Amino acid sequence: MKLLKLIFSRIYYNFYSNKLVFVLFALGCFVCAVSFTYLYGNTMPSKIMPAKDSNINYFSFNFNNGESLSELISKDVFTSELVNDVRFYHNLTDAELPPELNNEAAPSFKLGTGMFSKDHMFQEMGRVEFTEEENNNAENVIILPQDYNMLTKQVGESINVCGQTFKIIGFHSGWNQMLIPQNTMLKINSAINSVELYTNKGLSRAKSEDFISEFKSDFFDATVSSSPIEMYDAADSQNPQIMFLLSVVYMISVASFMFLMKYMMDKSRRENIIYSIVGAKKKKVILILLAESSVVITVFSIFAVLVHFLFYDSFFSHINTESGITYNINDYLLITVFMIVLSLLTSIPFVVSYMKNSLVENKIKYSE
Amino acid sequence: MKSIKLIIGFLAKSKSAAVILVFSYTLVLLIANITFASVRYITYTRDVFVEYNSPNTFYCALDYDPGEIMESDKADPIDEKLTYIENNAGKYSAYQPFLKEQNFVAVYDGTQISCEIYDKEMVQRYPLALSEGSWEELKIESDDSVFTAVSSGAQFDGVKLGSVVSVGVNKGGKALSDIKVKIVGKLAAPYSVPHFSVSGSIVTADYMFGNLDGLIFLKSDELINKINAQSSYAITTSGNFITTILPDATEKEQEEYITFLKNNFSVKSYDEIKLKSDEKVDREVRQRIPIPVFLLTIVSFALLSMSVLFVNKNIRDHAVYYMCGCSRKRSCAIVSGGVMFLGAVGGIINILFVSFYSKLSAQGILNLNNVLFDSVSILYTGLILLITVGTSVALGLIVFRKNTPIEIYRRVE
Repeated sequence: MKLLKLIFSRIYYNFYSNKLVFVLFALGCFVCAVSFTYLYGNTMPSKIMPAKDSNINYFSFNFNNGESLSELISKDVFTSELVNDVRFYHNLTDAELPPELNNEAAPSFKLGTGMFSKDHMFQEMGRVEFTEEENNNAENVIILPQDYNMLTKQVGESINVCGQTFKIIGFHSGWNQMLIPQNTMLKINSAINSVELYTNKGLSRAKSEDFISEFKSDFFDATVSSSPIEMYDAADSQNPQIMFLLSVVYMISVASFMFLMKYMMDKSRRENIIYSIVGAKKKKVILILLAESSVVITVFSIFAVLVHFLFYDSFFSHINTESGITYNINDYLLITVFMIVLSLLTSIPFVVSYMKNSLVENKIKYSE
Repeated sequence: MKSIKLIIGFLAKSKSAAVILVFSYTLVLLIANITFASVRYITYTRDVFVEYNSPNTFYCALDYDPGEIMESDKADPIDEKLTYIENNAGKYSAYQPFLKEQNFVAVYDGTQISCEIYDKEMVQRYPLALSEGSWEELKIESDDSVFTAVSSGAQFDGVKLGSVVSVGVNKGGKALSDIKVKIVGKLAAPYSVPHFSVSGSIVTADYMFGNLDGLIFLKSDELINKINAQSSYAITTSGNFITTILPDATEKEQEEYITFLKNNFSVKSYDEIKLKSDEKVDREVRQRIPIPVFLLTIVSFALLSMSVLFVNKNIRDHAVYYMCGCSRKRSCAIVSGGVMFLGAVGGIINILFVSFYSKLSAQGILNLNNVLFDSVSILYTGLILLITVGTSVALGLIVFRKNTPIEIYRRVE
């Protein structure tokens, strides 16, 4: 209690005797704290990831036993409003592959069908969508991947897949998917070995897990080959490195303002000498000085976090690098704790350099 | 000299603070300048694309097997393939010429440069701003084997308009064979020209242009033959090009022609490119500007704080100087000089960097790829300096002049 009283009286004295320096120090701490809070949300992969829909809206499942397409398309999970692009694939065996691909070190080609959204299908040559007529009539038309194996083929030519002859209507930018109309796939009746789908918006980790559970309740033998959870895990694994970089930037920023704190310490040198003369140990004086700067930094860090929290919707969310970045209470707590610890670490060299002189040296310095 | 010593003495009161501040101010200003230059380049190319292209423009990319191209015994197999398709395209009523980009590498003044060869239609389509000369001076025919060219980049800064220079073209192995070139124009900054080297699922305007340190020639058989005579594989044609459809053609004719283009190329329409470019400009502004702005705010506050700190640390000395006969005006000048020095070092380094970047880039010492550094960048730097250093000096002087030297002396005594 006595220590607290002492610290607050010293802070009051510093403010009273060096108003401008104190205000500048406080403003400096505030600006650094606001910047750190902003940078935390805008650079930490785990914070940016949920704001980037395109990274967290893709799922891929494998069926251990081939499924029938006619049964699959009737399932609610594929017709849900959440899904805007779904592709069913049949893994092509060597016998089913076009003869042009034989003896090639070809990737595992797949014959696919489904509902293709323009967001995930890019034209390389010809058409990359089927007409209603082609689908209704189950025509043998095919869109090939723009793979080096396919370059000998041109739009309008024919290719033999699964023992059937298809007319090439275009090339897309994918690398191993040969796409045909849904009714054509039903006609061929090949077993579906995998499914890929895109949701119309990014899903959180929890919602992704729910989606996978829902999918698995419909298909017991399905295994997940790709999902947003992997992206979240990858982002989480990068967090420590980014946090380290952020911490270095914050410490350098705060160090610029610590010179003001040291100036205030120099100004209160007389008081510190008296502490030592009346019996306070060096460690105790260092503790007082550290506690003094920590209290000021903590107050302004908390103030900065509060300002960020209060003006988040009206201001800070508009200057974020990605729309949709959110901060929760845990983030704010983590930011505050980090800022206090880092500020304390930054202030140690300043306090130690101040106290490196002996009592007599300090007394002489004060008398100069 | 005495004043300089006093300014140094002013800063020496807290050397480490001065060093940290000067270093961080310089670095942050550099980060801000590069970021702004990069965003400005993307905005610039988007504006050029919109200004010089009509909505019936298409960017087409030829898909080819690199292995097949490597194995070909033809001098320029891509050009040959494009010419073959263009001949077929000529049968369509909506056909308009393909605007292709060809380039070759040459050596000028001991440094490697890039040279672009454009059709007349390309030059007419993109009459980019010249700092000197005119595009009309660019001739197809050579004058006694002296070709005309427009120069781009700092490499040709010292060359006067109308001068004839020699550029070396690789003649197999290390030997160079010169071609004579008369400089008839100089491209203005940012030395960005149509450079269709990129294709992909998403094409934006900045992909369609590139910084050029070299020369722009008008395409002619004479030039092509001259270069090919030195080295058969010197000229490279980009598989990507720009084309339009004849506006007077009927809707059906236009559709047929577009289908033809799509059957042969990956096609991106003007609207698609404009939309994606606009999105990219917005995204870049949103993603890249805030962080330098935050860093600039921090260093500006740090500069402001340091100016007050240095004044407070030196105020007693100046009270003594006053009593020894130094005028207050001179003391103020020393204080202002000290504070200005803190910001000026970073500012000057940055202005020098911006001014000499094109030279560094032309000599291959430093290449940041697509950035736009020009007088506006220097103006930005100057403005930032004026605001931050000006405020710091003003605050420092307010603190310095708050009390008379006698009051200060009495207080410290």
